[in-house]
Amino acid sequence: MIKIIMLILSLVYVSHIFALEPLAEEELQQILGQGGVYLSGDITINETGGPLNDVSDVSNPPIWQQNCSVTSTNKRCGARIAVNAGDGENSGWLVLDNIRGRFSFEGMTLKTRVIDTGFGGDGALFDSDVLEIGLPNTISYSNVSFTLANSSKARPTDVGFNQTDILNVKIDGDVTLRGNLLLFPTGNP
Amino acid sequence: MLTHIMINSLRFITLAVLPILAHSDLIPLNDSTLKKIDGEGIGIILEDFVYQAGEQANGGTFEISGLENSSGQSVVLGISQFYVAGSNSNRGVNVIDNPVNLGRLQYPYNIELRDGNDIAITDKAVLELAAPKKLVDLSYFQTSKENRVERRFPGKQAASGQRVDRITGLDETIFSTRGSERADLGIRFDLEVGGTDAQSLENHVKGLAIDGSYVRLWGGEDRVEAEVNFNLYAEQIEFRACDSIGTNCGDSVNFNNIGIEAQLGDGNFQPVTFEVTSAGQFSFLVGSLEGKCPIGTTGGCEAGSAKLRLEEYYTSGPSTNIYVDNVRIGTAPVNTVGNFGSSTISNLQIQYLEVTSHDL
Amino acid sequence: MLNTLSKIFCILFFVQTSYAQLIPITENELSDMSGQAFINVDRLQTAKNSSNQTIDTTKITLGLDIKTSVNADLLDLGNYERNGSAGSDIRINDFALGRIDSDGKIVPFEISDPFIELAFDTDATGKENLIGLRLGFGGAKGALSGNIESLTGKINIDIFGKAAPVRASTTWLNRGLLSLAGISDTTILRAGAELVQANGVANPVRATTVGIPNGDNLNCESGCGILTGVALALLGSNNCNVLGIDTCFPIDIYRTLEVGNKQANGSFTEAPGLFLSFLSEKITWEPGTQQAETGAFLNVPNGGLEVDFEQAFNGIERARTKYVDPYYD
Repeated sequence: MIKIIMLILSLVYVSHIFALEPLAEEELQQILGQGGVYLSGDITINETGGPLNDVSDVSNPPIWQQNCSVTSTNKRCGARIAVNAGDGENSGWLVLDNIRGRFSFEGMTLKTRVIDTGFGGDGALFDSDVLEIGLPNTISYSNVSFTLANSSKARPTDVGFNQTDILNVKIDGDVTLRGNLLLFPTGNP
Repeated sequence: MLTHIMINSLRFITLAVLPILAHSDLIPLNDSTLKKIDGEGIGIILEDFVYQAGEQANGGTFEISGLENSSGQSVVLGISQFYVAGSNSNRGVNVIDNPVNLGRLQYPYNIELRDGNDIAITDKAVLELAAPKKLVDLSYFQTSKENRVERRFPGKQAASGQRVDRITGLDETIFSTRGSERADLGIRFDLEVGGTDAQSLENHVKGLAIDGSYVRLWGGEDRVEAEVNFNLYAEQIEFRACDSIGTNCGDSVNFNNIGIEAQLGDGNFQPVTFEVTSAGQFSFLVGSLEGKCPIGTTGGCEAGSAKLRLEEYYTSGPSTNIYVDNVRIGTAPVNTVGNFGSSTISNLQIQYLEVTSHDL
Repeated sequence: MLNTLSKIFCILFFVQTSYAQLIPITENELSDMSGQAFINVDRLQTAKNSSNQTIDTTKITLGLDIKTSVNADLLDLGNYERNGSAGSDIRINDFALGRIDSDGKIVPFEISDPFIELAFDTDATGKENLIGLRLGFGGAKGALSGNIESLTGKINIDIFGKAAPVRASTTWLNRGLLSLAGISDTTILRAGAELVQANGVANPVRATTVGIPNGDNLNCESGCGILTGVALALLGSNNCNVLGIDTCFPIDIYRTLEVGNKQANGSFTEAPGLFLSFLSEKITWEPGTQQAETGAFLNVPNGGLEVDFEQAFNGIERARTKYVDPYYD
């Protein structure tokens, strides 16, 4: 045991015998790291309704108490985003309504990348780092749907609410999305 | 027990030793490195990009519903294929192994917060969403001009000044997007009316570039205001009808070498707004020039700084040009029926535009 | 790491299973979903091709009300050789929609319900060949200005007004004849002018002249003498001339055209039927309307344009279309 401790302590001393010097540029460059993140995701939005669709709460407005099974087509089951670009009081809302469905993907990558070659000559001029997001090749949509609409008020529970649906989009199947998204800073501070 | 102590000691000592082994000097970044790091904007590029969706391309369902015809029957658009790929996609046949680069490292898509004082939007922070810039800030269109010589009525003064006589060509050298790196995109869809398949339509765009386009957004008095530049150049835009699997296609209408440069709005002076009215309808507005100058006897501006500002607007303010080198139906050769030669709308300026939707 | 991420996502998008009783939607909720929005897509069988067979069209209509004031240096459509001559089907310089009145107020050009319609002819193999497309408006009203160098289309100009300018434009001998026929200065005459060639032959293609086509005549509306109706009927316009009176005029003297249906009180309502088409074959878009020519074609609806005889002879003054207008300032 003592032998081992002494061996280890000697190793510690050994490391002090060689003077520590900063690694030169050339040496640092040779140290290649492998950094990065590999992501898979499975996101479900309001597949069986949302937190507002709570029938057990008697104080919950009736408009939200809906049957929200997977096969339900009730508009109040999905999520909703409303945007007002006017002055609030006197203008209406652009709405993405009844947002529901499931997205899943595998193999999205995230890493930094040095670009100093390629890109038809642009790389050498650019000579800098980018954040590379590798797109996942395929995204599976499962019963994803949403409705584009206009409404007079922000929420269906507001007084005087009135909504006009413009179109519905429904996607169920695979979408091919390949390539790399490269992000880097631009502009002048 | 002894092994335990040994292992734990080993761990402790290794951990204690590590910081010593890792010691190194901090080296300051030099100026040339610092210069490459700019602030405030994010450049975006898509490298080797392919997008494809659709019922026929990938199986499943992809449909747009909720539309109606004039009799109230439901209309459904079933999207068979929607694609973005590199050039020579051959109307969506050659997509998967045919990627495209969108944006260049020196000319990326860009999201940036800009100082409005640099771009005629005084004292505002402006969010700019931009497509790759042009190499040179010039119009695509080369024009030749002529003098005005008409009178508004016999006996009245003759009009002076110059106007565009014709567009002589498209200046390809100003595009930053390389010729070989222009996207093909297209959509094929089935039109279903009242439950029955009515028609299958296709739209294909070849060689698309949108260099110089942008949307600038800022907060106005009590609403979001915008200035929009929409530039589109395409080698060909085509519409045609086929059967539901995309074969047996009939004659198409082609717009060959089409260029659109549309400038909507002029900073604070003439902002663009888009909102939903309290009745739930869309309202798109390009601000009116009414009231921008004191009015003289015939309805025009009285001399003064306001008039100078409007003169500047008319000579170098926002304008829209649209040019199609050749509009053609089917394969009609030049100067035969079905080949409509070129079409031009030149130097269109919008003094006022209000578009409001209503239910049909 | 991945598990944690998935957990985070799941928490963010909280999934809740709820077994709910079906509750009838209240009246209040029912009224939330209003009727259909502003896009209509139609498959129609109202158009006919050049052999008068019914063809299919696909029409996309947008429920929009548009008010605008625009100026353009040039509108040039269909620039190609037609029957061996170079030129454009439609060429208008200093084109403008809308006007500025003398108080500096913009009087916009108003358009409602624009649509795009594609016409298809199905051949023996079942292929649907696109034979034409048009951009049209459900209704249009307002000032359309420009120096029209060439026009292919249908413009029916209703010339309606006192006969005084007609009489003034001709020789004293003819004035005497007109008086004999009962046409005095205050007689109200009406004539229909359309796109013609310089010799009076009606021709909607690349016209530079508008006038009374050969064989048509002036009609008397009021203040007619006993012989007027008979006399006028006998005197059809021929070679752009009736009794020494010019009946055809270069189209570019009409610098501003008021599009719309003129009402009794002088105001205008929106007129349907304004469209611009590109056709590879002549098509009658709607039953009872004039057939559209091949190439670029501008259709201005009936009742769309009305002038009096003074304006017919001397032209219509161009309205102010800019706040700093080269035609005014």
